[in-house]
Amino acid sequence: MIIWSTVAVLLTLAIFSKVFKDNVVYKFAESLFVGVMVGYTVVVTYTQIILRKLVDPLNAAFKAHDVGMIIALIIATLIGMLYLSRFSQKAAWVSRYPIAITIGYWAGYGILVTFQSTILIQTYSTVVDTQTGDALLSGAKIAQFFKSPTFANFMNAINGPILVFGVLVVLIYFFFSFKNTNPVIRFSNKPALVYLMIAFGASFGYTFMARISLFIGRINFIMRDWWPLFKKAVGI
Amino acid sequence: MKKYFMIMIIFSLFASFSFAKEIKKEMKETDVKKVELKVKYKLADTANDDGTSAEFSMIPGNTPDEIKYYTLEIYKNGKLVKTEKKENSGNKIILMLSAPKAGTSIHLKIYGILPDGSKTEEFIKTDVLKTRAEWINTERITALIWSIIFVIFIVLFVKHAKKGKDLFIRKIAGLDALDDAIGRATEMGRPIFYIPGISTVDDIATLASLNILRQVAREVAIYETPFKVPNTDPVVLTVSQDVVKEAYMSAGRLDLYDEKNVYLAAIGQFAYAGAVSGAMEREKPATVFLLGMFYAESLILAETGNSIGAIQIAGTDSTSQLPFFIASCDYTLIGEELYAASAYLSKEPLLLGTLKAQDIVKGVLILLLLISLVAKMLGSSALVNFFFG
Repeated sequence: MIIWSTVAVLLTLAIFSKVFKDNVVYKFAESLFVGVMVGYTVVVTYTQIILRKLVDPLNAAFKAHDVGMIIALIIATLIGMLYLSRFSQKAAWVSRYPIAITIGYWAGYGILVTFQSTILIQTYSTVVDTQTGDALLSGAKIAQFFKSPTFANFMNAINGPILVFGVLVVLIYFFFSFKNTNPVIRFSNKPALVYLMIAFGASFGYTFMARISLFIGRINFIMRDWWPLFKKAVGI
Repeated sequence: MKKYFMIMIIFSLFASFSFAKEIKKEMKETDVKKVELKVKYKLADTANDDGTSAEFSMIPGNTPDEIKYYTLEIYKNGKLVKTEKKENSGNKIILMLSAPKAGTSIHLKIYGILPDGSKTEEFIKTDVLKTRAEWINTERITALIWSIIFVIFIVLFVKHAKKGKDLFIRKIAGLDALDDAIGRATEMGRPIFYIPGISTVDDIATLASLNILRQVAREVAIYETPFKVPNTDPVVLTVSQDVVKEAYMSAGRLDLYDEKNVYLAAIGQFAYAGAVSGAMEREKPATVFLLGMFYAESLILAETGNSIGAIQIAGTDSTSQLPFFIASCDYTLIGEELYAASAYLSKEPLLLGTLKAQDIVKGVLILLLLISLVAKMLGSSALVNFFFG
């Protein structure tokens, strides 16, 4: 236990040492990490892909006399094996077939999924508050604020207009067919950038805090987990 | 006398025992009557799927005092495969059932568990359901119509561009700096690093990056600048090698192409980040391109590039990583600018047509969005449901 914990601590410190300067210890940790990852990936690929996605289904298909599945699996395997043609300079072009199939499949598949998940759902949510089913741009909410001018009502009234305006200006910002001098583009450029930067700033802060918590986790491992073990082992 | 007395005692004991047994029997019968299973259930095939799932729902008719739990025995093709225990809180109980393939017969047996922990003898057997695969996912019909419209626009604009008609694209700041960035590396005699992200070849950002790679590699070949493309995905590696080789060929400098410069740096996110940032520290590139899909390693790479004083042009459609690029790179292509970049640089009809079609669809989308907003404000949801539902 103490040996592996100590190895983990030493490797952690080796990686942190790059903060000061690139050095031999860092290079060693880096090379070790790269090598271990390659070995790990080979094992995972064999056990999780070759065995699970090919050998096991093929065995099951043979047992069930499922000819369709056997043919499908063998064809897929043969197409996949065309990648191996990269080892021959003369036949390397053959590897473009599996690449073309992969890219073609995912590009076609991606169109519909992207429309559904990132365009239609988001556009719908710009019109309708999906939690309540109310209109996001609602005159009633604004009237409610003037009737009862509380902070909650104020936020409720401006939330929708802020979101709708933001979506519109950011969409216009990503138009590439008009010159930057076009009045609509010029008008929407700055507000769009403000919206984008506020979003990025929030995202930056959020992710930065997550990274800090990772760092704290690492220090906790050294100070709380490893250090008592080490003290016990050396008898301090 | 004593004899008769003993006989009477034995007789009365026997009678009382039989009587107690009868009472107990009667009580048991009334208990069974009390816990009669009352359940309204529905077992239905999941709509719009490939026949590998079904939905079971039931509304308990018994109170939690009568039946504390329900035991659901799930049978697939006549075999018991799983038993689920669900607490009776009086609310609807929903169970998603998976099937190995379309055409699987599924049925359930519902038992009750009494408060004393015993299981009811009687059970309810549901009807047998055969799972069905659907050819068309009706929930995606709207997306399909939008996709067809989009593809029609692409075809029209590609034809338009192929005829040689000028399709205008506005300036994109990061791309105007591309020549300067390559020129800087050439003058300094230091290499250029092109990092195509860590995603696979099916990612749209990776495809966009590979398109830009072609333009960058062509310019690099012309200026004879050392060029490195570290990869993490083996398939992206093979595509990158082909792209760079073709670019060198089209620039008439195939002699400069070295396959070792387009290499597999490492497999795995942080192993790759470590290997590439280490290579940056040692080789001190003058220019670094970070274009494609990035995750948590984005800041490690961008910060390393920044610390060695490289001019950095980054671009991704990952909104969570863009802030890091904006903070640490000289130019950042935000989201769609990455897709537009390849068309902007190459002026190829296919890419230009696609970009124009994107703009038109975006324009239509804004128009319909405005119409839907007004309609919804007036109280009608019909338009928004029709356009985007």
